[in-house]
Amino acid sequence: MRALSHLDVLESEAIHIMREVAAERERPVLLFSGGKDSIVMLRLAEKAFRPAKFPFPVMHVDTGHNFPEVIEYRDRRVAELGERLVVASVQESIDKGRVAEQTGPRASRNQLQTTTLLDAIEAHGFDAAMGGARRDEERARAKERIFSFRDDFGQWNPRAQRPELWNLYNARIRKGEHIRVFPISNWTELDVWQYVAREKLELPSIYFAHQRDVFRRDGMLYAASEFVERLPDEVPFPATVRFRTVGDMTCTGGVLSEARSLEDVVDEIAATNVTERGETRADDRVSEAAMEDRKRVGYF
Amino acid sequence: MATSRELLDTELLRLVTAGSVDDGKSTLIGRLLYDTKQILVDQLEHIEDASRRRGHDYVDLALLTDGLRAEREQGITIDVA
Repeated sequence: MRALSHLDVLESEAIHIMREVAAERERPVLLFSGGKDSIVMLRLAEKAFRPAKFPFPVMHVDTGHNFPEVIEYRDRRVAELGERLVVASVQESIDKGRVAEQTGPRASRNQLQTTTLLDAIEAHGFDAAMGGARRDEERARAKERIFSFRDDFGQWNPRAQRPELWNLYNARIRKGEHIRVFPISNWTELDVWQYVAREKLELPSIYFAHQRDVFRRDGMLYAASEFVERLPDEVPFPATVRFRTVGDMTCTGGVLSEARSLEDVVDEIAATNVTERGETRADDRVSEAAMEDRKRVGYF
Repeated sequence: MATSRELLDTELLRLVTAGSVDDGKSTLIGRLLYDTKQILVDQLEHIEDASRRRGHDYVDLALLTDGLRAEREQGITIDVA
């Protein structure tokens, strides 16, 4: 008998985790951003629960500053699956006065998402939020449990994490608290791409090389858009780029690339010497523990 | 350089270290990661920078396992998930 490949092992672990959540918690939700990791999560949910419907809705925290290609993909994909989509809008949080919009060229709604996410979890009474975060993305995510406890205020305390032995997960919480669950925590960026290729998953077009107007800031190439105020010396120019991560347009940089097909991208990632967030995300560059600090207050 | 096809056939390696406080368990793991070329350029730059700010004249490879603020402040690994 052939041994399971590493992708099979990771897949079955993730399916087990999702089923565990569905069995243990009353009102789970699957967080979906339209990025490659969430797309893999949707496929895993299909494998875990089909032919039944997912025992949870899919929720997108929409900053209003997303790549249009991603929103188009989100609506189409969720409709194809016939699942329920909940959109939690950062714009609404701003309109209600729950958060204040940042201003200036470096304004981003990245941090504002935390309040919107926590409000939505409370409003819908969700007690478990599954997300596609991975350990290899960032050092704080590396330290987080697969079933990660959040207190009444949605806060994460890295010093008070629960033991998590082998595949035994503790989903017990009191009312008002919730857990965050990361079924693909142990996957790497390359695993995700290999899985996308193996499962022939469709991705938003921005993951592949395309021509676009970009401008240079802090050594990264940002897409020129109405959402980002440019400094006088930041002149947009056309370039062939692709995106390694999909976040808000205000904090996600592209990379110069000619990789137009899945195979090209897998080869490119296998040979890269920079991590995806190091190369393309401004939100992690704020300080040494930028992600840990955001996670403590409830960021995804 | 490994091709993506070769990488597809890799298996997971599990590793345990045991020892007293400050014996160098985390540093050993960091060194193994470094020597097996598992560390990407920006991660290495980050710990070089963090080592310098801590006043070391060497690169503290234990920082690779010590990602949390509390771990770095106290110079210990509290948790490996």
